[in-house]
Amino acid sequence: MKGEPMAEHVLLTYATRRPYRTAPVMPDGVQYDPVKGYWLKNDTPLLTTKEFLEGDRVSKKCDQETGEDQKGE
Amino acid sequence: MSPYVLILSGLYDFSTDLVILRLEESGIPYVRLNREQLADHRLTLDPLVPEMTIQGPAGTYDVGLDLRSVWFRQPVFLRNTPPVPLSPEDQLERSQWAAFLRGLCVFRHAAWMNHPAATYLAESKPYQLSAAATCGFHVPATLASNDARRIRQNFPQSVVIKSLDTVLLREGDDCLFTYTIVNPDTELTDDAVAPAPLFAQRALEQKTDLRVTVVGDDVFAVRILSKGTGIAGDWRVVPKADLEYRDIALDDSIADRCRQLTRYLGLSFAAIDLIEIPEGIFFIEVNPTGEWGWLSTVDRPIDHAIASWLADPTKDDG
Repeated sequence: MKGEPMAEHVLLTYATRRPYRTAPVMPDGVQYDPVKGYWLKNDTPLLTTKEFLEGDRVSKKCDQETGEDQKGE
Repeated sequence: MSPYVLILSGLYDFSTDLVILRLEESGIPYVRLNREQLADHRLTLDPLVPEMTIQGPAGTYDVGLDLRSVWFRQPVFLRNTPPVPLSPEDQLERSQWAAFLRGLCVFRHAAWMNHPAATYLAESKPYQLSAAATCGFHVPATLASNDARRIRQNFPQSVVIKSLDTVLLREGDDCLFTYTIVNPDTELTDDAVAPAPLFAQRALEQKTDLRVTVVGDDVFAVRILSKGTGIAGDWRVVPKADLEYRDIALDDSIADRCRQLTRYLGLSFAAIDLIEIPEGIFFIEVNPTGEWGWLSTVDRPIDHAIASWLADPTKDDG
């Protein structure tokens, strides 16, 4: 059916747009220890390091970008 | 080794790290499998025993009757259609590993945080609201609809527009996300609503947001403020530096309703959003997979509570 173009859905009109990333930007020198099951930096759990605690990664940044945790494709 | 706790997570799920550090401190045997690394392992599930053997980078394990709990930090359904075609290999990998993880529900003797079936149902916002009302919460007047005329009729003065499910869309190299919309500037025309249903809800004025995290019987509640006051609109758009999470002691009746709702939905973990207005406290939504790592501190030890529950899920039964 021809005619005026449809208005955009209101949920799309108000959608925010950000670059898509499949993985966060990680600090240099970190590695995941599959046996321990957590990330390390210089043999120290990454999450206990000052660099991590003062960064964005332990904030609600992920939530702000994706709605809630674990709701990926 | 036979782990007590099986953790099904993702490589960049840092909140999982927090809990594992607590399990490690307590000497509780656990194993973590990340969905990105499943194919790096050799996994075999015998559903009749039940038993799963794991061999690979995470170590060698026999997951069986010693298993006390499963922490399921996985999507329970595919929310979005990928913006680019997936190869047959990718499609196969996604569908079959997801099915394998769901198949771990054969560990019926273990406690789940949360069970995928419970999460699936609890993710439904209409169902949540109905359940919350059943549990005694005040719930704002709400319609799930694609009928703009009906929405305008029911909410003539002010309205909050939300998605029925998380809007997380891909377009090219971008990711699109929709926050809560309070009184949209654009008119709610039929064209702007009819193609997909949405949630229309009574706008609660003079609000303060509360986030309640329920872990078993433990309840952690914070008031979300900016410059000492509640935040109009969606607080998630406020810059992080301007946000304050202030611990509060909920009234026993509200805390009990949060526990009751969590149990009613068959969950052991729930992140519940409430709104406080002069009229009272209203239920907004519950997130069975809600994030909590950003709230966990020494004084608000959500990580300890989760680890403690996973280590001994029966402690809440007494």
